[in-house]
Amino acid sequence: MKVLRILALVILAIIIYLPLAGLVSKLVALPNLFELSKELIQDPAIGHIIRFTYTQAFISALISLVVGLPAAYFFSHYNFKGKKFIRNLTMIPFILPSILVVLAMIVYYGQQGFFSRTFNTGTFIYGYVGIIFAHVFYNFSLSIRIVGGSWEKLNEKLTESAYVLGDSKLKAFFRIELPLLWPSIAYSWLLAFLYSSLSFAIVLVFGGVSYNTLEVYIYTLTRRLQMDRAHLLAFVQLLISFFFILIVNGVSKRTDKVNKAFTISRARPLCLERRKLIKIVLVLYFALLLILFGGPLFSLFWRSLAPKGDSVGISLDNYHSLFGSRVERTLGTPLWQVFVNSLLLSSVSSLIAVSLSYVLARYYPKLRPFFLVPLGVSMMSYGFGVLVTLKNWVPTPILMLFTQIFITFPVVYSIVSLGIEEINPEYRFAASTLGSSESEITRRIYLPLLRPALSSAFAYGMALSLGDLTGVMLVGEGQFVTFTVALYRLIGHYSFPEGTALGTLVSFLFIGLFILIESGGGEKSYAKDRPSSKKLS
Amino acid sequence: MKRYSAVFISVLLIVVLLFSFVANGKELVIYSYDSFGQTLMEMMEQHFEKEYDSKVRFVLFEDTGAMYTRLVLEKDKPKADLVIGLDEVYVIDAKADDLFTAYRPKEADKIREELVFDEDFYMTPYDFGYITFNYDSQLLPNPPKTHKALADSSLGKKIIIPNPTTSSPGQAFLLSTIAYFGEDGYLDFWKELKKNILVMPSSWSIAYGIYSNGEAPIVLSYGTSPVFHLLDENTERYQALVLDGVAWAQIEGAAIVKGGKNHELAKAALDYLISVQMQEALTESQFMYPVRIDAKLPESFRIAAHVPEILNPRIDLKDVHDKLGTWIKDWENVMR
Repeated sequence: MKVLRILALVILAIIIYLPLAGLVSKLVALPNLFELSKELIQDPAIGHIIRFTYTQAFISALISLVVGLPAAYFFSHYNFKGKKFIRNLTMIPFILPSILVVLAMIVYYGQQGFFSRTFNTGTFIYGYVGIIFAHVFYNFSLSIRIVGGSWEKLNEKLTESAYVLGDSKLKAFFRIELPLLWPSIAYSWLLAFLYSSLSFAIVLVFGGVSYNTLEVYIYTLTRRLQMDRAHLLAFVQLLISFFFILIVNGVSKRTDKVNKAFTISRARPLCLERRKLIKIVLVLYFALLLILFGGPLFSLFWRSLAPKGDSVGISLDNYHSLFGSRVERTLGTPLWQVFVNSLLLSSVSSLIAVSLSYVLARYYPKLRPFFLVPLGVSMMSYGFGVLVTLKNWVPTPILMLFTQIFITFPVVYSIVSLGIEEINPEYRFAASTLGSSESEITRRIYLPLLRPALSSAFAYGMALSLGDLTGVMLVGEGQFVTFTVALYRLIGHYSFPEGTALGTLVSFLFIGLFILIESGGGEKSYAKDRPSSKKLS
Repeated sequence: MKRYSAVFISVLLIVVLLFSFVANGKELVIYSYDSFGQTLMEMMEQHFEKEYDSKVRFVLFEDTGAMYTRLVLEKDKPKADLVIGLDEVYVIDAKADDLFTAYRPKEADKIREELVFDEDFYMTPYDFGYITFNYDSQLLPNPPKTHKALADSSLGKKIIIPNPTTSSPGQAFLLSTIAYFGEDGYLDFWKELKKNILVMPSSWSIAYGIYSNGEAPIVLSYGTSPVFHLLDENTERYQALVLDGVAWAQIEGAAIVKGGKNHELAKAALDYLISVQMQEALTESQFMYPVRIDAKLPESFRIAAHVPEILNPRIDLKDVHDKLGTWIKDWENVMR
């Protein structure tokens, strides 16, 4: 038993920390490290870049949170038709490579965009607002999933007793629900914050040269072959991110005893809700989400149906072409192989990431900040670390999984560990008093109770892995073609329309898959255990 | 928990089996970047299979920067024999880093003289492309034909340029303005141009994607970009735009890696790359021009840019190497 835990810890240390140690050791070995650091500190441009990077990330994450919270509320309190579909739809930006997300934004919000022309607003995306907007578009699904997941399990008896004791709804929320939801809120903010701080394409497209992030600056240094400076800055970036991780970890410790605070599922059919207002607000809110964030995606999907050449109308030209011989020649791999590769790599790596997360979150909860570190390093710097440490002795397929686990781990782990934290420890005590073994406790208590969290985590793991280019190229050397590699290769050969067709296919394929994963057993049968639905008011 | 670990280990094993790459004995290892055409790779593979009974393994990188970094990292124990796709700007660094072995290909005298950027042949040019603007003739029937007109305020926000700090074509355009206006004049041009630039994306791919979706009618791309639309969509809507009859030529080179295991094979591959057969194949595969004088251009290239003068000889590559950092920094200050 114990061996397994330690094995999980060792594997993760190899995946995350060995390459980082390689990076740091290269840095320490530099003869001119002192001069470089001094130069760095004295360069006013760097200070400016750091300030911009983290300010925009802070704002982006805050707005992502605010935008996602109502959805978290609705999803956790009500069941209605299309809930799973909408919830999974919000994950599409994670699946799609940034190039398609950027394009989706421009097709919809650009100066010739559908939104800008329909509502005659002109374009607002070229500038600071555009950067923030794109980051919100990316990240608001995190709070829906993470906060929504906790909220759903929050025991409604607690708030009801508060009402009985005379608290108003608002007061009950602040006194009871908020403290219990706080860790989930803090972590979904943190994840959005760190993702936004690593942003690259979005900042350059919408910000031009006026705005520069650390990530962009590190890349330009690499391009000018100033590797030492690039690595030093990557290390600084890591330190800053870790600093934020520690802060959030510190302020998000559960203050109350969580015993009995969380149950299984409080969501109830929306049709039982008597108050019209709730329904109206819900419809309005989702209509707004659909217009603001669904719009860009649907324009992209719509774009894939445009005919080739000068004609107008709708056609499947791009799909025909996608499965044609020219595309296969461009990719060097048949398309079915691309799908198999993507599915295999993303599902296996996500499964391993979820398993590792479960073991590590249960047995090493204190190490949490250290498991979030991958979000403080860009794939580029990590890749360099991999080259100097793992590349020569780890077999290629394993190394490929390593890079994917690195990418997916922070999100997968956050979702799983928050879920575990919310399981009433009395269950475990009771079970072990009654003589259950650890494996029985895992199987009978943790896995069933964690099911929603595990499937969310698995879906995010797959989505993040699907969108990766750098890791796959680094290890696969161009021979292992996944969806994202294929997409960049197509676009690199002018086949943009086929690229949008591919993006559309992949989006729907995986959304379908995620819905299937969520629906498979578990959740529903347990939901019946809760007391029959009562009126809220 | 036992079952748990059994599942875990068996998953790992299955994956190892599924992914496993069969290790080969003797093979020629060629580094290139991801847009190197599959057609050319297959030709190379077949050629070596037939002539030398040897395998060829291509290792593709995300971009040339990643490729160069890897070469430096592996300098003491090189894994590559040949590298294809570094452009001429890398030559000074590559010489300073002592990465390559000089080799003058058999038919080197057939290469257009003005393209030979390295007289010692540490790097050999194998294709080139003009970095020019393109325009959408449907959205903009009368495009500006000079640098001055492009920067004129009557144009409006109609231009997309891949960012010179992160993209090769973007950097090539920055160099072309320095070559054309001189070190003292290029910043004034950009000051004027700035107001007409809609967006400067991180890569050529994004820039071209935005352009081909009709967001703006002018994009910095290649002189051969219209060829693709002619071939694939049978349209002449997209046209090349050469300003003042000049353009920068992005020259791509190949080089033999110093200390590589298959030196002779690498030489043969470089020879083959310069052969008429390969040179004519790369036109519609890479959408680039052959470097050989005697290679025929396909009919589709009639729509490609006509460039009377290449700007490259106006600046010294040594200057580019030494001053590029400063040029970019000054440029950033103007654009901010």
